[in-house]
Amino acid sequence: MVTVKASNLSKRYTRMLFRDMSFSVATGQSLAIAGPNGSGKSTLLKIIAGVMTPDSGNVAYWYNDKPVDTAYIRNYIGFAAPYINVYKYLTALENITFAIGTVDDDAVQLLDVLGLSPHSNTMLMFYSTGMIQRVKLALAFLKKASVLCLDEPGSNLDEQGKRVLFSLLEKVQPTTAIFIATNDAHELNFCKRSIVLD
Amino acid sequence: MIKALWRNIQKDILIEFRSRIIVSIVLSFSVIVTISIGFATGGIINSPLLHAAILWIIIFFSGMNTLSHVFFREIEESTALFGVIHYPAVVIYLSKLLINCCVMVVIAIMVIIIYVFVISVSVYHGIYLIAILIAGSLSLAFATTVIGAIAALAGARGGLFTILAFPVVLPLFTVAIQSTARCFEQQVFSPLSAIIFLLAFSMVLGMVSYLLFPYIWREF
Repeated sequence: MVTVKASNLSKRYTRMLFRDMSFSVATGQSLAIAGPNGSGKSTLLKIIAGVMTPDSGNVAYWYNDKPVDTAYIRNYIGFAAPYINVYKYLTALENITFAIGTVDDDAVQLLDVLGLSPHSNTMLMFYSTGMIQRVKLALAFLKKASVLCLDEPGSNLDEQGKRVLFSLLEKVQPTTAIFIATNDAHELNFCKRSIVLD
Repeated sequence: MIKALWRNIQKDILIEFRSRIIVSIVLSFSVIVTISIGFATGGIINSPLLHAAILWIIIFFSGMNTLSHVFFREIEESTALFGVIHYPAVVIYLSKLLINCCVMVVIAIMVIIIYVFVISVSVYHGIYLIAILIAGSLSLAFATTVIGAIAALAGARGGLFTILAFPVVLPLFTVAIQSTARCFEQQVFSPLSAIIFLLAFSMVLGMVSYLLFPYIWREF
């Protein structure tokens, strides 16, 4: 059971993106982060994932009511975003081996569900943007992380890809805390709660 | 830790093997420059110190072209965050350092072979020369790997890396040139103090870089 507690988060670039933002999301819960372009959705998601520091405030991870050291937060995170690229000179299987450590039955099955099996030994430089998005999602789900951070997960996916995405989200929902930065109506509806940045 | 390190090294080797960027840089720069200098100055240079200086200048600039590449590639292709999410920063640092060490030793050995062959310089202490070249190239890799990360994060390819690296490598450069020059002379000498200095220099910079890297390779 993981709980992500954000307290009084503030971040400023050329303008104040958000100030004194607090929320708590536990296993089985989901939070959508919405807002116009440049409102700070991705920045907030990066702060939640521990790969960016806020100007003030903090994000604390609790695992079974014990605090998690910030150095180990990445062990709890599955993260897929347009600004996190996978290695284009590696194949899908090689990217999975690099990120997860091994290609087990779950990985083979997930690649099949995502329609990537026939191309799993092809370098990603020959993939379309939609196929690369499927690889990114596969990597985020295969980590079996307690916290899933997804930034525009449906981008570049066709209807069939979106259906697979939602079925995967529904499958992991009971055991995962999910954060989705998006403006897509379906993705917003999937989350039980939402934050709107302006 | 070892498995994580190996996966990172394996990934970098595969990417370099397939993209052939480092190989082409090494071939196009170190080989062509060495041969050009050889043909332009063949038989003119008699000073061992000058030979050593030219040799290390070629190794230094070949290294400057390749040492920062491993980090620039991660930033330019937006894959840095992918690595950070899955591995601790120290694993990323150590894997890049090991790759840079291997690349630098290969460059140094390749350059000396071409240099000796093209310029016909007399080497009187071959084993010492190889030992100094290996120690010197390792020092260059240790001294500049973390600077490569800083330059890549600053988004300044080329110039900034060489400028930042220059004051750091100056002491090792001086020692490496002087001891290399002695290898081109007939007099008996011991390179031990130079090699110890170069390796100690590597260790100190390596430790400092190891401690600093998690704070440098963090936000993208």
